[in-house]
Amino acid sequence: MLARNAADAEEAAQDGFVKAWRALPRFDRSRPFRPWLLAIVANEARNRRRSAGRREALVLRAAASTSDADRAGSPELALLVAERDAALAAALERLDERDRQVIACRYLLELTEAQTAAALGLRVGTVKSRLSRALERLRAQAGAEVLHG
Amino acid sequence: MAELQERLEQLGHDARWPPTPDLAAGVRQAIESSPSPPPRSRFRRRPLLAALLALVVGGGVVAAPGVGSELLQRLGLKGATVTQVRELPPATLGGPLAVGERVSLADAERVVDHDLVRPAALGAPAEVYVDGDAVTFVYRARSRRPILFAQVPGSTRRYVQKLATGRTQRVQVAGRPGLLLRGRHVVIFARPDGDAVVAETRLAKNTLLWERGELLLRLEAEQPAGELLRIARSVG
Repeated sequence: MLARNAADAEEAAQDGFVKAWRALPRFDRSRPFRPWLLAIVANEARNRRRSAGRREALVLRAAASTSDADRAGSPELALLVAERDAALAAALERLDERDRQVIACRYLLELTEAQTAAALGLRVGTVKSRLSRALERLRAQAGAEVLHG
Repeated sequence: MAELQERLEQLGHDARWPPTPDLAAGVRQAIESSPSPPPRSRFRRRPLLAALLALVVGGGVVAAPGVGSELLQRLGLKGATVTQVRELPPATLGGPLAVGERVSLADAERVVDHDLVRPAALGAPAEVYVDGDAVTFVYRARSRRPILFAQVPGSTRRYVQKLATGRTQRVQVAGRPGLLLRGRHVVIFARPDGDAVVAETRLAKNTLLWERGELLLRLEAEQPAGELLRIARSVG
């Protein structure tokens, strides 16, 4: 989500883990480990993408799969659900990068607000306010048809 | 809005994420092949950092009235501390900026995680640099040394320390507390990922530090203090 392609994400994760290993002696044991590790790896991903100057599009492939059929109850409805998901993914893709990242971390990856803050290098308060604005913009992008079908 | 959030979570469940790779072997190999911290070209200032720390720890600190990290914390400048020292290590005024990667203003706005602010009094920056989530604008004037305007998320993730010999004065910038450092000083940064300490030296005549929202702002120039305050008040 931050590196914008799987290969860079894998390299960033690996390099982030190595950095975390080397930084372990400086880790404050009184603080939670996961946000610390998340911040290191996320920072690595952002730096990697920044240095590469890449602007690859994130493609969220909404899966027209058995889960759609399960959710919808019939193949016809499953197709409609898949189309709505694809439209929502497209609307998400049209958002500004910062809006997209905060929504993706919080809802697609289902991180907590604190974890989202750690991953994006923000304060929790910033995550809350940015998320609120980003959802409004996504709602405007997606339109009523996508949201209410 | 709850429906939208629910739809997004469902989209996350249904999205075809790339398979989770097996990173363990690669990480293990990287650690084993280079068990000690690798040589870092940009860390060549490490001896300077050691010298600075030795200077502080070794008795070079002078507790100047009204200056210090506790005071800064009270002032709300949690991203920075200022330590008064008897003398600074050798460094060159206007030396290498070492403020990260040079980028366009548009790219800086795109890649950092906070809204960029600019001093209207200075117009468009001549150069823009990004280092992590820190952005530095450089303004160049014919008759003077460059003016540096930096903005850093003011959390404790990024620690900024200044060693100063000159006078430090409490000021107000648009109603927010700030500090004005007069005279030469040295800046030390720590990278947010905790990977290693990076010491950068950048000597400036006058520096203004202040908070704006969640940002710690820093203006460095050889202009008089009054001029710095005028520029700082134009930040929008």
